[in-house]
Amino acid sequence: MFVLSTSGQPQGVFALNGSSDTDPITGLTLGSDSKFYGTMFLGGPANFGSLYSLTTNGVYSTLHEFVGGSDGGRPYTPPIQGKDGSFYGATTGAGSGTIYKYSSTKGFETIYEPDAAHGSFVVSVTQASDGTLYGSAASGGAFGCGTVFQITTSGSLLWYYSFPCGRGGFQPIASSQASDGNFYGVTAGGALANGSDAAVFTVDSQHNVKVLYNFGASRTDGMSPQAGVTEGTDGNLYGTTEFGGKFNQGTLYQVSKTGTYRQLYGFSDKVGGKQPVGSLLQDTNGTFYGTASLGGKNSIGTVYSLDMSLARFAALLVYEGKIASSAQILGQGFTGTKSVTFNGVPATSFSVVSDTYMTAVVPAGATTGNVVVTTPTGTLTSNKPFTVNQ
Amino acid sequence: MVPSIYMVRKGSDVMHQLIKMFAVFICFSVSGSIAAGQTVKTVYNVSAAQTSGGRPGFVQPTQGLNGMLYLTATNTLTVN
Repeated sequence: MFVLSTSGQPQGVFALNGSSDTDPITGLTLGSDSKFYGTMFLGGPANFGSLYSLTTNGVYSTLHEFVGGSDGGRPYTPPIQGKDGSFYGATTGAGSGTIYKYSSTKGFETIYEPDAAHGSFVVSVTQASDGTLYGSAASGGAFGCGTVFQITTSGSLLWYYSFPCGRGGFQPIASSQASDGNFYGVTAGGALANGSDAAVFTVDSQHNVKVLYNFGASRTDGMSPQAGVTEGTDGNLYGTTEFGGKFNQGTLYQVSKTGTYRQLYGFSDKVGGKQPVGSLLQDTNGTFYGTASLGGKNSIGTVYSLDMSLARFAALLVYEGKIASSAQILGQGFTGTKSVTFNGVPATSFSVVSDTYMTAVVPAGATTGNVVVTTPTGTLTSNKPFTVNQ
Repeated sequence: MVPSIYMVRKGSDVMHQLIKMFAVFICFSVSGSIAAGQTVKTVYNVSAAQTSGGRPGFVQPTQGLNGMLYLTATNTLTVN
């Protein structure tokens, strides 16, 4: 794991357990306990990868080593932290893949194993505001072109959808719930020569699945997206494609929730490297950051930024809590903060831990809405509403 | 039927076995405008010197409590 400032200054590097667990291709999730959680795609005694945690000062702990049995293996994405504080993740195999749950008190358990008819090669999982889990399986389903499915946190299947292949979508790889309550995801495509089976799709609250945009609309359009979309603070969705663009080295794109698509940038390796395959992070400074798998000065990749002139904002580690609980807030310029409000109600108290991190106690009378932090240099509004659980 | 990204991984696994495990990072910055008020910029270049792949390319950066970006890189052991 390596650490950078947002201006690109190296801040440190920590060794992962490279001797036995390898290929940390999946990124990290910052947990509410301040540890990072991630997965190794390979390694471990059975070479099916592992689940690990890492403290900010580099203490590495293996939480589970996958053996390719009912526990699955070869996870492609990091776990997410659920509303109950547990971590939920997906594995691509063996078999059709799994959804697992990990908690520090109960350890590791597999909660769902789809059969091929309901999806296989489970790439990712996300949690909806109602607490259910939505998974993306890149293959399987009625047509062999992948599924999205909804399960409870105990693993009961509630709904699934089989992608029809072709322009209806092939190989879903990720979806996430946006501020309008709908899910937005991406299919990687790959079967059609023009790449138009790669798509951005949406799933609404009634489980209607609709393709918002098919890639490959022109000779220089993006091709082969390999990661999901990120909702920006302007309400648009932002993503990457590995290929396509003027130089066929990948693109950055923006698509609205109604399907208005715009290619923002075609990678040429002159700026930003080439062939980005990861999704984008919108930092609380408003700028997006991503990685390119190749190119750059040394030809083995870059970290790049995409500045859309979006304002700074506040982010929360967990976007819900009960009255009197402590909310953890990320941002910048917190030193000297004057007030914190939850949907307009002043926090019971707040504590500035550092210029980029603070906590605030949810006040009595607070209702679901945005958290607003008033700092000496401006007001930061949370990018998502904070849900107050009564 | 497997995703194309999976096939990419299979190829890169071979590379991981061939190259030793540490990375050197060099930072410089170049930028290009894409539209009014919009800019793409290289903020960090992974170095080839004695690396096995400090390639960060398969991950989304994560913002830490200290405001820094945290990324995993394959087989990273040290940094100069």
